[in-house]
Amino acid sequence: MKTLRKINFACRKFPAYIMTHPFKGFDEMKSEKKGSIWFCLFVLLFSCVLNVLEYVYTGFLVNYNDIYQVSTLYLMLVTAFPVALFVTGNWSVTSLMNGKGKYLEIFMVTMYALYPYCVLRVIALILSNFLLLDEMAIVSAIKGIGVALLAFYLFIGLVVIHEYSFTQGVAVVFLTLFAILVIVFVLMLAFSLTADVWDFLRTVWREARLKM
Amino acid sequence: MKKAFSFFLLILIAMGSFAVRAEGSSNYLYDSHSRMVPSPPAYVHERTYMSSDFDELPNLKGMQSACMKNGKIYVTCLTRLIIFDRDFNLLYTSTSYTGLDGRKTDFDSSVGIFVTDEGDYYICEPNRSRILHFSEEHELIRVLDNPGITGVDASVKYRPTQMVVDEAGRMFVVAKGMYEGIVELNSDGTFSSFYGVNEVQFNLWNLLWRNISTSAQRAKQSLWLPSDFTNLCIDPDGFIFATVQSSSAAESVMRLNAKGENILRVDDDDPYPSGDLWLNQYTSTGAPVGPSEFVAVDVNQYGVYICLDNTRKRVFAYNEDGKLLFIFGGPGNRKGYFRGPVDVDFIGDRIMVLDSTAETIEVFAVTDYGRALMSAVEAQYNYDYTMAESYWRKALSYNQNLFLAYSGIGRAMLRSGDAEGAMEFLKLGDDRKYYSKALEKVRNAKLKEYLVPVALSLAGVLIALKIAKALYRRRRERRQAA
Repeated sequence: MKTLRKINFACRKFPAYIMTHPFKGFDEMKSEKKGSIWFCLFVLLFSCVLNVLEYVYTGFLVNYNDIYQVSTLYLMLVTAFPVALFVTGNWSVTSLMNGKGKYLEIFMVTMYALYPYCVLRVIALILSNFLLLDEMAIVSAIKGIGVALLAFYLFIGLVVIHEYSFTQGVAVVFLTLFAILVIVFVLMLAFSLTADVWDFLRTVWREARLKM
Repeated sequence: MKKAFSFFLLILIAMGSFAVRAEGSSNYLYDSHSRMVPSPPAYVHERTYMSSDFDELPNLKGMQSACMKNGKIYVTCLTRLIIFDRDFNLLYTSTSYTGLDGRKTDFDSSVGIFVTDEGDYYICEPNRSRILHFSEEHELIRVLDNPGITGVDASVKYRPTQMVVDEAGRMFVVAKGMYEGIVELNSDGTFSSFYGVNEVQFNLWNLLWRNISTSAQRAKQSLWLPSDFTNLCIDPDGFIFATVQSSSAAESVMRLNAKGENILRVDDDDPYPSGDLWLNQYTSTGAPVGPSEFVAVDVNQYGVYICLDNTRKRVFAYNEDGKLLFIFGGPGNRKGYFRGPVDVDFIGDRIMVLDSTAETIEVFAVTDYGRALMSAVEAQYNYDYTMAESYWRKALSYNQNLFLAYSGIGRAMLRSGDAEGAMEFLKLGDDRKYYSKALEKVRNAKLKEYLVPVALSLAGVLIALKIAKALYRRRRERRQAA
């Protein structure tokens, strides 16, 4: 009974509390440690799985994907990687700009902000199987609302945990985007260099083997 | 090891024998994801006609254009006019005609030919800037010289290459180098207007780039010219099909209405009929690169149009909705392949391709599969959906990759009332518009059947839960009180 109540609090009551009182909610998440890391991991995993489900099970009328050629791993990574990128980017910027939020807190805020979007996506996914072509606007409207909510809660959450003002918050958003670009650039550089080194080592090995 | 090798050899031999047995050329179609899928041949090579097949023909040099009307096939070579009947018996050939002044004149650069329903025929002579109008008995009726086109640079020579005449006697002439559009002439041969004007396509980026480059650079860049019309034909409804040559080649075949607007029907989800969708990128292989470029078009009496692609020498056929029906041809010297095709025409249920380089006329006959496919399209064109369904099923038995057949069957089933069965076929045929209609029927029927009982039972369960909760609470309060 106790665990059930705990789960009910983590999955239903506290997210709902954050939805209705975002400033208070995120503050309590930070100062009173009310948020659950397990719940956040669950949201991450769920949105990964949801991306696969959306690819395959979105209604035929709006599903132009080739569902017989789907890489589940790729679709899951495509969801998880931007989250990692954003959290890392935001953390690297805010730690330079007197942000009070820790890495884990940024991650949790992101996940709590993602939660309503996930729920709306599930609703849109189910609806897309029952709506006609003319009614598909409802599905895209639901998804649009989801994105707006995501941006809204993410912004408030970040401002609260970093204890920023509004203008600082906006500046940090842009800086975060810039940081993400830098990270992507460095990663690409690293990948291509690794490939080059690997290629060089392989060539050396092949040459050596031919000489032997 | 040896065993494996011999097994491999066996497979190779088996494959080889298949390759030999496979008739037809370019046996593929494109699926809804623009991927090539194999398909049986709809048209196979039947016969090649060469000049040696006819006693009176010394050669077939410089074949340009053909027109089929009233059971006769008119073919122009640059200096010769040839008329066959539909079984390719030579009816008439001539290298000259009697001019209006009574003198004998040789044909020179005769390119385009058009035959009216009455049997009159028109021949375009671009080098002499004129169009010749003959009667059915090969007597010259009139000569249409430069019609006095207004609004064009005077230095541009009028060079008519292809033309059609509509029911009202208006002439639509493709003139080489006239980027303003198709030249429309009144029935008396005077200039009316430019028709189906192509607009120059450019974007902001090009404009910016053009503005900051120096005049020397600009001179080296290619000119911004609108696309050039290459060929024409007129369909039974009086609309004009035109092929367009263009570097961007966004719309390489058009169906033009009286105002000159493109009214070719294409579904929103479908790619524009533009020949090959998968394009070779590698120049080093020697294989043709770039998009298909249509140079000839013909349309039959039930809206099927065939386009000749000059890039890969293939013939593409589409139905009136712009759905790909079949492909044949290809570059090469073998049977069923072309070296320099210049024109393509329907001859009854056969298709003729003029190969200018090989100096041959290639005739393709319809296969059983092709006949089923074409009959289905014809039945659908005439709104005979039950007939169409049976033909689609027959075509499907030859070709499981024929997506059009699934949607055709699905539409027929939907019409006959089997919405649930139709949904399955429409999904296979990737036909979202009609799938939506079928879904509407199925969904609304189910809603009608289940909405009230499900809603009532849900309400019942909710009320029961509420009561149970209240009872539980009261009991607990009593226990605590006691």
